[in-house]
Amino acid sequence: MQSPHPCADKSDTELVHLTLSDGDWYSCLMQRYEARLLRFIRRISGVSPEDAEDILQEVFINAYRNLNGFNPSLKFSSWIYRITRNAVISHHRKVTARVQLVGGEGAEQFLAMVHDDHDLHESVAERLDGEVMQRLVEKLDPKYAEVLILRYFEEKDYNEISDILKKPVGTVGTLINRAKKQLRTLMTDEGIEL
Amino acid sequence: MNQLTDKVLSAIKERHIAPKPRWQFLLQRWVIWAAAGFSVLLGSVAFSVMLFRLVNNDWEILEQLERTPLEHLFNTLPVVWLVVLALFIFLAYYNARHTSGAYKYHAYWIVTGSILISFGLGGIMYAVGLAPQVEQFVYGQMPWVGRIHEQRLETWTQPERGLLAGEVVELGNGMTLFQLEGFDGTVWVVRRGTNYVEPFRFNPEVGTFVRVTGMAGTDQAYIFVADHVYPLFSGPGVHGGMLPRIPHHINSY
Repeated sequence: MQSPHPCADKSDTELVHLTLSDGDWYSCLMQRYEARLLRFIRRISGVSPEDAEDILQEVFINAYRNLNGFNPSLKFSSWIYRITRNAVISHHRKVTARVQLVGGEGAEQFLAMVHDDHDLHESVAERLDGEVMQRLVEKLDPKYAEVLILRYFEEKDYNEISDILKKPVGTVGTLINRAKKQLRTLMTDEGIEL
Repeated sequence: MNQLTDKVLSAIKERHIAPKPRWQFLLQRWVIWAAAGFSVLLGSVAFSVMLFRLVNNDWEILEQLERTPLEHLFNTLPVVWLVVLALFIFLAYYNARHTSGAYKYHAYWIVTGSILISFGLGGIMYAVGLAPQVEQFVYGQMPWVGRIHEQRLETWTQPERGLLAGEVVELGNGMTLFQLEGFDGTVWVVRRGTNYVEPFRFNPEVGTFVRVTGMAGTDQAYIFVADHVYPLFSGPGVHGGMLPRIPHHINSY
């Protein structure tokens, strides 16, 4: 089904204002972010698609409840990603699982982007399948896995990551650098030539 | 609409979920900012009292006390006020961290900012004479916080070591500067010594509380030969060299 409202020409902030006066507009925002957030949830948590949907459902309800607290000086996407991340953390606290990254089609792309960013050999990425990638990132410190996912999977810039993680931009840069270093060390340990 | 969107909208309608009113968020932000501001304010008050204590710390008698400036500083450190200052700087930091947008700044800058604001405001509070009022108020409520003042009176009731303090009860003339009633009730005649240095911007009057360094007369009872005369307490907000609530007599505690 399509949303009863024309969403495409509206910005996120406009949709927030419209939703506050008519709740049906919320479907536009949900449709706009559903796929992205589902992927994000699965990437940082490794939960099943069903669990990811349950988490996202709670995220959308929570975001709707707090819509008046959205600060327009922030990107809506940063705000909703932050809520999603918090929901994933809460979920993980409940199930006491650790942050992990799922493999699949994004894994090689992820690695390739990290490599490009660091002038590593592109060929290395080609040699890695999703399973290897999953094992590598599972070994990463969760805080490093998280920033790498946001930077290279979700393609967020440093300012957006700063807004999502609620950390200073400088700290985000440091985290990303350390994450890359840790990933490279892991690759060396795994015998993957750099 | 797809299934998930549909589910969420249905849940919103079935559970009658509505966005929380805007005023709740505004109130929350206001409370956090107010708490941060209040913490900085109390930190400033603590700093102003620390300044007051440091100014009135008997730096002039380090020789008699046989201490280096550093030893004296550590011996007289206003620990309670330091703890209060640290606590409120931490609370200011904690509250500031919870304001929207504060996460963009490193903790270092927020703490540094809180400290600098506390020092700046505390300096202003000291300059307008607030510190002695706070000191007296706290002494009235929690005398143990002001124990250092009582120790100070004891320190200055050692004429045999050349340290005397009390209230000027009568002005003298010629070689006699004034008569002074010590904190133990003894009345001393304070005379000008050969090394006497005129007090800087201070003119003792009857009712003024003073500290005198010099030497107790050896052959005549209750004669004190003065080298220096200082107000007992000095700084903005102090009148007559004394804080009214601080004990005026050594037997009173």
